Amino acid sequence: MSFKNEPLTDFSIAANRAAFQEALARLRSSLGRKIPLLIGSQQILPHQWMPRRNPSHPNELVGLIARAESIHTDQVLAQAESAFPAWRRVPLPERAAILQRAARRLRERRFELAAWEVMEVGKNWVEADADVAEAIDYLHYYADQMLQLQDQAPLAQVPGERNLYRREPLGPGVVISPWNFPLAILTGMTAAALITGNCVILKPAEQSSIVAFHLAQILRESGVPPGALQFLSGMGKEIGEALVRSEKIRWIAFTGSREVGLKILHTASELAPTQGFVKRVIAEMGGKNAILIDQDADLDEAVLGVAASAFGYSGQKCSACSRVIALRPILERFLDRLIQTTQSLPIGNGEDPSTVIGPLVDEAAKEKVLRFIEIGKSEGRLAFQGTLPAGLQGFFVPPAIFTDVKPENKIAREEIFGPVLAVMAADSFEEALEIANNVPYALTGGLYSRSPRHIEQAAEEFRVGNLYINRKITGAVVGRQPFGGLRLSGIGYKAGGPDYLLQFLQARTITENTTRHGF
Amino acid sequence: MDPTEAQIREIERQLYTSAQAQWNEVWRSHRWEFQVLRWCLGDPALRTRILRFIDCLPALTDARDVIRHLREYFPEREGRLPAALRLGLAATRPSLLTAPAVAAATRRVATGMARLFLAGATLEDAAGPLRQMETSGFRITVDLLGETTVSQAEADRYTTSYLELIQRWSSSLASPVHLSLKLSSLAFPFDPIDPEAAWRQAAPRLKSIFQATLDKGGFLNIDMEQYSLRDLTLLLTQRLLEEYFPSASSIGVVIQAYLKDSEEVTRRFIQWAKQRGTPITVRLVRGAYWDSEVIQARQREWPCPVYTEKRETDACFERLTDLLLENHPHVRIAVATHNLRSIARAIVRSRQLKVPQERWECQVLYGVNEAVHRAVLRFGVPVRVYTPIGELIPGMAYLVRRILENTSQTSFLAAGLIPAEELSYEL
Repeated sequence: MSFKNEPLTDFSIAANRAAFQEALARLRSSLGRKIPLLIGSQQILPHQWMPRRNPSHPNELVGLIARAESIHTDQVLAQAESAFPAWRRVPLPERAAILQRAARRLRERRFELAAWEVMEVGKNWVEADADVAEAIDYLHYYADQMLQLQDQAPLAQVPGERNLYRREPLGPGVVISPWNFPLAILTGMTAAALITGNCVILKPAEQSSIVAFHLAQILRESGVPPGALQFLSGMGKEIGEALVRSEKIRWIAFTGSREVGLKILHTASELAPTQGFVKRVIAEMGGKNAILIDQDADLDEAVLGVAASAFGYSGQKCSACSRVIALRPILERFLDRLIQTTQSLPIGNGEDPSTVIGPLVDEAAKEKVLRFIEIGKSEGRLAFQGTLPAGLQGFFVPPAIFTDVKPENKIAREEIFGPVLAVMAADSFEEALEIANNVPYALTGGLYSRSPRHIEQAAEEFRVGNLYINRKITGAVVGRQPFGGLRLSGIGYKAGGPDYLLQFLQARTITENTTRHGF
Repeated sequence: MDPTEAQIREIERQLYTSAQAQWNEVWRSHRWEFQVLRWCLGDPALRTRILRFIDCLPALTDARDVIRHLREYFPEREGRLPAALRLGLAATRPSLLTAPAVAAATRRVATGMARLFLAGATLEDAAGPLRQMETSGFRITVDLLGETTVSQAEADRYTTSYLELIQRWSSSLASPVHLSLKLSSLAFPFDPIDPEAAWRQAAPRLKSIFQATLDKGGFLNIDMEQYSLRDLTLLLTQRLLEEYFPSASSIGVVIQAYLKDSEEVTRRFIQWAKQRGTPITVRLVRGAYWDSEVIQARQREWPCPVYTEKRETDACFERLTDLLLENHPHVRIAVATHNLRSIARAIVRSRQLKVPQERWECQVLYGVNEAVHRAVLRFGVPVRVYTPIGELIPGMAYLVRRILENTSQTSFLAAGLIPAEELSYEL
């Protein structure tokens, strides 16, 4: 087995640009359709629908998404329960083949799916393309990993005794996925659960349910039986909680906000009257990620790396940089150049190929970010705020950079999920590390330095889940940068890493005495 | 042996003999620097660290910082202290071995090295060496080294510094303005994903620089960078000429022979030049981004755009030399190489094809293998020296960064030590 990452699209090739434009144009003619629920082998059209609007053009209806009700949650749970015994017995090579088939289908429809992301959540071309590529990676990677896990014989054996270690699926579970990587994160959690033999109920974020529906369809076309993969869109409050609470659910894989993550942990820990097991929760819950700028940093690199990390997809990534801690001697020069760079980043609609900063995902996200900018003005100094080009109608917030921020300020501690950056000064490298570590989150972090000693020190003391040195802090690659946070950033093993699948498995040890009386 | 091949070998031999004769003189003028280079680069383990140290040197603001980095990069005891630094320190009395003294010595050594490859910090600073080259019969093209352009404001500043250079040129030099320019310094973002946006940003700046060059009767060469920017660079140059300068000829582009599709691109470009009706210059190089192209292609699982065997690049360079010379009515040719065999081939083929001498020249790098520069010039072929100008220590750091990106090309520095040796570094 040799896993290889799916290459990103080279947009310097004219034919690729033309193909992407064409995918966008074709998609425009199929917008506004109804997206049903997938319960068992049925497509269900409920009574209520949620309109999804293009964040770049709120007047454009991307689709009408089914809004599930409690009757539907009962149905999916029953279906998942009854499908589990058969699905778990499907031989692993067959399950792996299904995932690989799904990967091929994703690849065939790559630009179409990326175009959906542009329309549904306002990604730009490069971000959308990378998200689809990452989804393909997860399918291949976890199939590969499971085949390797299967081959392992970890137990010591002695004469007269046979020891078996058997890894088994947990049972039906629910995947609650975020909208910011509509395909990749959803596919990662789902593929891991399926390859290990679990039944999955997909509950995608309301903002990205159309892309999620396409994945569910692709997985089914590729051979996942209807009960093993169901699609239930709707409001988190109405159906998410009921799913988490159900005693038919063995596990919950969640990526999203800390608030919801902690609530899921709480709810999942309560035993229903007849429930005879403890639920397993895997939760990835955000970050307040910092990049340190040492005084010997290569500014050409640091400025570009910080701008990409802080403002790519308008900062709507859990890995995004929202704090910069610069050593005082370099602060001013760094800041000057960063502001000029940020000023030069094109703001525009997702479908415009030059766009670097696109819209926020919806009105609520925009309001929240604007509130934080107001808070920032009272806490620090607004050193820069971009201006929106004329004619934009979407949920845009221009990038903002704050200076004179204190580590205890709200904008230096709370996840904003928008293009807002807090810049702080440190008098020593040690102080910079301390400020960086002194938040409850610990997901990603970065360092720009050319001091071998400081690089070593950061590797030791900058205690985040993913530390990046002299490069941007977003864009972890499956199999190369297993991704996941510590502390309040999450519980669980790293996605795209060698341990991830273990969370969807339980092990049983079987020991047989093979000697017989009289030997 | 076919007669052409025999002639090429004969001329290569003559060039080699002539270069060897030049060598002593070159050695005398740079004895100290060459010694330091030999010590530094002779030890491969030390070499990367030295280059990395020089890379960060301009960022170090005070003496204490210089010392701290010296210790971190070179933790060995005195005996293993980089030769360059020991040499620099030798000029300082032991009693003065304070932090400022060591820091100053370090900078002095780096500056000395920088002077080998940079003509000066500014045009005025470089005037001495430049005039001397002119007097010796060399032609010159100047490249302004600078930071990577990471904003539109920096693109504006870069444009301004080129415009100022054009205005001041004649106060330092007798020959007409001749500049080399990277388009990525004129726009940010400069991204091939949207050629239209790149054009909107770069065009006004490029137009003003080229217009100012033309006003002075000068020449502007558009340098080539990474493969990802190749099509965009050619596209923008062609569009500039079509839209604003339909009859201009004082402009050049670059073809990189290490690219697998370079022959196809050259044919298309010649076709375009033919249709346009006014010849412009094509500089033929091997290509200076080999390592980073290979690394990036592997990291991204993209097809590798460059030949992986050097002899393939060499062969392509020869094919393209022929192709360009055969089309001399439509393009002017600059054969940019220090490789004597490549130069010899251009000489032989240009004779056979009866290419008038004003239609082609040789181009070489400032400070690299000067013996070759002189040998080619003596042979009667015009030689243009590609001369970087920029703040010495930062400029050195930028050169070093290019070397670090292309680790195999450390031979670029080392080659200064070996007369007439074949070079892998190209413009």
